Amino acid sequence: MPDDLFTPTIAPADYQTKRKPWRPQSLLVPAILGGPTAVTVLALLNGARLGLTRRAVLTVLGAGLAALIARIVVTVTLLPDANARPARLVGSLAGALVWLAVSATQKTRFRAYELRGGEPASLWLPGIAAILLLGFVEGALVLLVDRG
Amino acid sequence: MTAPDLALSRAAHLLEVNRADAALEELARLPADVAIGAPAFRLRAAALTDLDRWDDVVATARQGLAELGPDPELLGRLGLALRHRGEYAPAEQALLDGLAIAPESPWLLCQYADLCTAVGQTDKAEQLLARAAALAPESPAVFASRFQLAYTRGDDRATEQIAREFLGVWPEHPAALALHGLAAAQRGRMDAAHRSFGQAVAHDPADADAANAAWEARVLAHPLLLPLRPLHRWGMLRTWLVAVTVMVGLNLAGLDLLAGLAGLLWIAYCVYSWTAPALVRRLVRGRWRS
Repeated sequence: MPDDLFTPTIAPADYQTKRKPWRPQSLLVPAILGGPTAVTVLALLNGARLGLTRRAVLTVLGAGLAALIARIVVTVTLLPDANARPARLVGSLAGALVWLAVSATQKTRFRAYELRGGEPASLWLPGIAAILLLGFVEGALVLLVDRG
Repeated sequence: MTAPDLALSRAAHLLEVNRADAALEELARLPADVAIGAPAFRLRAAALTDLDRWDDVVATARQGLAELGPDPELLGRLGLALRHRGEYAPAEQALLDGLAIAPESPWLLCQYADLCTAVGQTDKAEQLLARAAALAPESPAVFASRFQLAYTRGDDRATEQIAREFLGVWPEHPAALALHGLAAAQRGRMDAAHRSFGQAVAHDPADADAANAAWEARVLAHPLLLPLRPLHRWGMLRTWLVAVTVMVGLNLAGLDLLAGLAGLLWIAYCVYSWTAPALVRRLVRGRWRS
């Protein structure tokens, strides 16, 4: 019987990873502490390492931009002071929303990588760098828009 | 029954009771003409699979195929071992060669599904498993492959459901117990995980993976890690949302002092969740060794 299921579909490009990816679940920490920009940049790098489809990459990018804009709009229109604690909480929530998109698009690919015996890369240094650098840049941007 | 036949059935029995090393010794004593027969090659490849000796499985399967010509079981073993060595395209070729001879073999269908799952082709894996499940709905291989697929898809609820079905049909199967333990650990039920892994090790003491998992579950079931149960069960995001809601709620109610205290407690909890598992691991291991 002719059978579509029994035709080969595995090309070498499907499973070659040049650099170890980070565990997508761990990206929640830079998302909460750093905000949408930090988690989006890390997730895009991770997507490239996992070899994600174009659609998945665009989903993360779209979610990141939407969350950044939402954060700025909410802070400027609803909060009296962009420097105060509620403003930071809005940033964390926006980051967490981006992470939901990241988790949805990267979990399967990462678990398959684990199933092939792959180990996750350490997120400590890149995570802290993203939180400090990108978190600061984003905070400055929010302040600028708020003052301007 | 002749003496070599008896030796073959003894080896098969040893494999059934998870004593692959003893089965290999039995097979090594076979006379030369029986040792190159199809049953001997199949049993040897199966025993080496149980021992995770993938390079030897590849060599044995290839040698058997050279001696006997195409054989679905040996092709399946070859595909399985090549997958474990990370050679996915050759593994697919071996499995497809096997399926060309035996398209209705549930075990071969499961092997091919596992391979597709491992490279992230989950939709194809699902179709293959549907076919295997229609042929042999209660086969352990089908349960194990369905579990792996659901886990890879990230559907932890379905994963646990499949583990429970597997255990319902095969209450003493080591793989059923080990997978049930994995699913329970994934959902934060550490005591259940601990029990299942312990039983799995009792039924199959040679399985290093189950022993390791039993270890890890023993650590996570430790009383000192009881405060981390909500984190395991709900995941990081939900735990954080609960903490933030409490803090914001206290702030809005004007209870600034209590809100500050909750904030401090939350930070302490975060630090505890990073450091305590490592400490308990040391504690449990130290006691185990002495």
